[in-house]
Amino acid sequence: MDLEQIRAKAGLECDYPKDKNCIKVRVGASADHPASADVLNRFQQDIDRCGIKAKVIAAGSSGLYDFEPVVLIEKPGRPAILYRNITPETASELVNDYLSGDNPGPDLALCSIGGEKIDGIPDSGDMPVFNLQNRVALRNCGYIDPESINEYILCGQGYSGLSSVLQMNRMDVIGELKKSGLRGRGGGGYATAEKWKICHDTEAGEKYIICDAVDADPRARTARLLVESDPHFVLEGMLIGACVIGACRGFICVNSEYKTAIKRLRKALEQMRNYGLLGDNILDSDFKCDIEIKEIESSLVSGEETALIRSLENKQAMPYLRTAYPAVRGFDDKPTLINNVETLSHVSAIFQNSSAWYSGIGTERSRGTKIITLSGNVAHQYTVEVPLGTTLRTVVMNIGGGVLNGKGIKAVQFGGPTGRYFTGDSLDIPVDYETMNEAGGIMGSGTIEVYGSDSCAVEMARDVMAYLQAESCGKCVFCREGTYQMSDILNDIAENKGKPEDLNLLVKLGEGMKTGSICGLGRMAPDPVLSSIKLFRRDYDTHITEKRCSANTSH
Amino acid sequence: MSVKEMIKLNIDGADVETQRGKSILEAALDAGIYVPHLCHHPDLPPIGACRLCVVEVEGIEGLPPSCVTPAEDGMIVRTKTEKIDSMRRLAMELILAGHPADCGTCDKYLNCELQSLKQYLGCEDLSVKRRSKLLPLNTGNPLFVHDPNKCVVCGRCVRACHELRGVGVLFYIKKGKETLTGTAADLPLADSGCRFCGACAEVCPTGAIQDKKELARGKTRKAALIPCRYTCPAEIDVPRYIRFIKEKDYSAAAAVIREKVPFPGVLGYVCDRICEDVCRRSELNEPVSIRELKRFVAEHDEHRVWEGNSNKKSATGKKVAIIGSGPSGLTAAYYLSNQGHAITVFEALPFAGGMMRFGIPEYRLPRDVLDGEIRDVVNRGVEIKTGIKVDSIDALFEEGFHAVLVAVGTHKGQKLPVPGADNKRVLISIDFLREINLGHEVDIGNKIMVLGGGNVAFDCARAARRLGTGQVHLACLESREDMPASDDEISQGEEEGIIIHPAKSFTRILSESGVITGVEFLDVALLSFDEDKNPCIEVVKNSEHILEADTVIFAIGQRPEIPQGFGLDTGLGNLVIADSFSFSTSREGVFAAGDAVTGTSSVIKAIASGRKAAIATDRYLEGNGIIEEKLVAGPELEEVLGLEEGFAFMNRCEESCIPPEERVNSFCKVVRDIDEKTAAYEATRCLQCDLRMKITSVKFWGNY
Repeated sequence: MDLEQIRAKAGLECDYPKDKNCIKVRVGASADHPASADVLNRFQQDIDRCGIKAKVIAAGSSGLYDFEPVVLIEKPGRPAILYRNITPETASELVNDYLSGDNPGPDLALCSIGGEKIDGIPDSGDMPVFNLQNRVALRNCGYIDPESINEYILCGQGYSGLSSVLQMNRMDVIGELKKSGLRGRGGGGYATAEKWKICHDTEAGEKYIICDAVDADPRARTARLLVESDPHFVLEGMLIGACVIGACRGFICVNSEYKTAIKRLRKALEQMRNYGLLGDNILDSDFKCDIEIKEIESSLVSGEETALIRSLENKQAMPYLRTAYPAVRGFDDKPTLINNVETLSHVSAIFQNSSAWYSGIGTERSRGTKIITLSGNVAHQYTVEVPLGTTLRTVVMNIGGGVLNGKGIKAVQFGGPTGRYFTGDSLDIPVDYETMNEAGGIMGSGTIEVYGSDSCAVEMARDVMAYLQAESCGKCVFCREGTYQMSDILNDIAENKGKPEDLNLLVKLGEGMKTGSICGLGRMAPDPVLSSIKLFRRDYDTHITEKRCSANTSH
Repeated sequence: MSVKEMIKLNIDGADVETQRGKSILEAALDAGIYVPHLCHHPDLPPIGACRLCVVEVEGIEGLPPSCVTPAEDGMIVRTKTEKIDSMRRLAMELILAGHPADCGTCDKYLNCELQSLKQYLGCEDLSVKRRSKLLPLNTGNPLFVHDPNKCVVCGRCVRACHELRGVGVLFYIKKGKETLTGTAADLPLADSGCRFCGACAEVCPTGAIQDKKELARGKTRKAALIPCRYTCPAEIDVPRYIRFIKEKDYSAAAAVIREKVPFPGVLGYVCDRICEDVCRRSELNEPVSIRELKRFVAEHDEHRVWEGNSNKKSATGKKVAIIGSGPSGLTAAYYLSNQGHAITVFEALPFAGGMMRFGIPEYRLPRDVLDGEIRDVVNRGVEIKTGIKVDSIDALFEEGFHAVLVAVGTHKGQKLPVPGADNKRVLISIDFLREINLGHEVDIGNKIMVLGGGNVAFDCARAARRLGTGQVHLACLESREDMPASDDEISQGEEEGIIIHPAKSFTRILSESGVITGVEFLDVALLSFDEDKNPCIEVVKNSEHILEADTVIFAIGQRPEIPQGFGLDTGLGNLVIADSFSFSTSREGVFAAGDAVTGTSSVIKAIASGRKAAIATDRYLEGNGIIEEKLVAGPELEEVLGLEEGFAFMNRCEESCIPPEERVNSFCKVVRDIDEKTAAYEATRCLQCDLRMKITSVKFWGNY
């Protein structure tokens, strides 16, 4: 079947997306949300009872967890209204007031989206949590039913990207990708087009594409959100990549704890097979490909490409020193393209729209958007997507709502547990690859951990280092022993048993780890503590010489 | 085979040639340039974990580890700079921080790569904090001890297990904050599918994984690690022929055995298999049934490849006389004949074989097997003259022999001069057995009492049992546990109805009108032996009692019969005095081997003695004394063992016999032969202890 035929078939099964007269009630929440099922059922029951022409759709999460379950009601002739924290009771109210009647229930509303303003309901365009975002990868998350390929095809421009690519010359596709400026979202920020070209250029009988949807960083929710709420967006990107490099086997590596995500992926793959989007002659072309799900036990080191390859080979997930890129020689010694789940979603977006559109977002050297999850001592632990170039402060204050209980920010750690700290003026740093690297930071997973002003820098570093020591795979001396020694020293300092020489030793160990480690975990493990010493020297000196904590936290 | 391209690089100012594909470290070490390393091992893929081998390479940033960096033509490498030194030192300090500081109490002292590295780098005081890992010592596995406190996490054992042996039971594991190596879920090695090949212990650079000391006590390294081969008096390459059995090449297996002994079949029936007593497999469950496998091989040697491959040297013109055609005599005859000498064996009895024929009864060793193997010796060009008793060695020299080997064995039994011992139905073991083995009638009654507790006593008892319908009893000084006879002789004998009376000391033989009625005994309280091997018996007072008997057979030991005409010095027990290295006697040109020198021992010891005597005699005759021969090539050493589930629990195939009721009526073969399937299974049980000797030894820095 080609795309036209698929759309026609989808339309027959799923008429309401096109039906302008049907009210659509989209209930959005994360998979494990306790209340969403009850809310869904109540809507369905009440609508059936009242005989209203409306469709109730279970959508995934949009990342604004505080408001869940959110309900988006699209009534013909009205702007869409987003409701927040809906319960079965308020669901019945909405059916009564707004679906049957015409009272939009402003007390329950979060905002309206597009169209004319409604009294008493803010416009999403006026709300920073919305207007600061540019949802490229997360476009469909929270709005479509992740278990319906038809919605993806009809509501999104589902598989139109793949369709275009299949009609293009492979080198032209790489050219378009290059124009878009897309860079790998796995943390390294390598130009995606170049990586694809290396893999494409390597001659081999078999090639593989691997999608990293593990969320190795425990603070990240990127993979979870994308796979739970919009799996097809990821899978389309995988097929585009596979097609360009010439792979007919793909593996999507998912965190083994994401049970719902895995379930939805399985369903998505089945649906794709039914539409001929997997297997032979995809979309009536001569491209053939199949995708397997691999459940990966998540650990920080599983984010390293070489460790992921080992994991797929059923060996211990430990990185190794490679003499060639995985794109040349990877899984089973064959050319292997490894892309992050976010990167592949961007690929779908680019080929569903245009490289010109994509390259218009973001900064000169870092095009596009980045998914960021806020965690720690922040008012709203959201997952959002902002254009690259947005500053840390904007995200933390205007989207995250600043530190809980109105306290000031001590620091934020950006990029994951191996990222450096930012504080004070440095919070105005724009989030983009170059600026981050120049500042000694990393894009990493794009997570922001927020620390309130009552935190102690020594304890912050101690806790992060303890985590990194536990996550060290143990293979190489500098990371294994370096994180151990650093962890010990920080414990001593935090317990007021430190010595002034300890700081020099931390620097010396850090230098060793940076040059002597096999993988990024070891190389970057010293960054948090070394940046923390530079920024918060006073905290360290107080512990060491005055034998007390300047932040007055209990130990 | 493609010729590997040679490339040239410069290391520390010196030009070094190496093959393309080698790493910088390999190129340096091959050229005799020492670069410190720990996680590198010549047989394992490199991982760049320890960072001791870091170097500076022009054109490459930073400090690449030389073990993972391929050598390139024209490379300029420096192995000793300040930057390198400082990184190396920090790496070493970090490794030493968690390692026990005291080398003196460790069994690996002076044999430890870490200790050697510490000396080379001169690391005594550490800039980082020391700690004790406080991990539990694991002595619960057979054969190996694991002390994770000494582990430096070099990962060699993991790589040896996965990459080298293809087994994969060792992993990096974490216990609390510490990293170590071990099995998944901390399972015992046996439960994990370990092959107990010892590769991990062999590659471990410290004392973290070691062989259990108790198993090696008092042994050389070879005897401790491959005990079957090096405990065998003839050093038969057991693991090698077992490997051939696995490949179903039984003729090749037979050839391996024949490289050391000319009697694989005989040994397959009667060897006392001391190899099985020391087999390392017994630490897991039971030893490999080596004797059963040997017999199987001997019976299945269809192609006799050994014959075509055995090289007989050209005639030397020297003649050797060998007195006695037992195992030691015939073995020496075989090897001396191969060395090109003209051999004549003189045998007093009507047939050749010595104790193999006239001591060991037919039900233990079928005559066709013995005859066949004696024929193989004769076919090498050995002349055996039976029915000739040599009385004078002078006569032999006068006949033109250049050397004489005395291999007369211990064929003179004895009676103790107790009252009543001079009855015609008081027999001597050796004479009794000889008569039976010659096929003659023997005059015995219905109640036989054999006196003695060794294998010869049981040979007599079980032979007697087969001759008549009467009862057979056996009484000996030793307690049940200390009886010198082998366990299977005792158990098979009891199954056949032999009644055993241990811890008895006989005092006199009673008779009435010339007919024996019984033997009087005292109970033994304590038995010990003095340094001359004479028994010291402490009896229980007033414990005299009589056991009924009408025939008594003394089986209390044998001596050699050495004619005066030999002119040889003899010692205790009338044994010929011969030097234990040169096998020469008090007379020039006369050598002695086998039981005649050692006293009654075993067939395999006699054979081994014959081998060594052949070497000594050949040298005396101006030969080179090299009797080693390779009778078959291979097998290909398969270093990859693979995981075999339940390997440690595979049970031993036990020797099985035909039922006692069937066997007591004749001298037919008692033992049942194993089939091919059983042989294959049993051969798989072997741990292949010799594989680990193929692992390259790591040179310490002092050797560069």
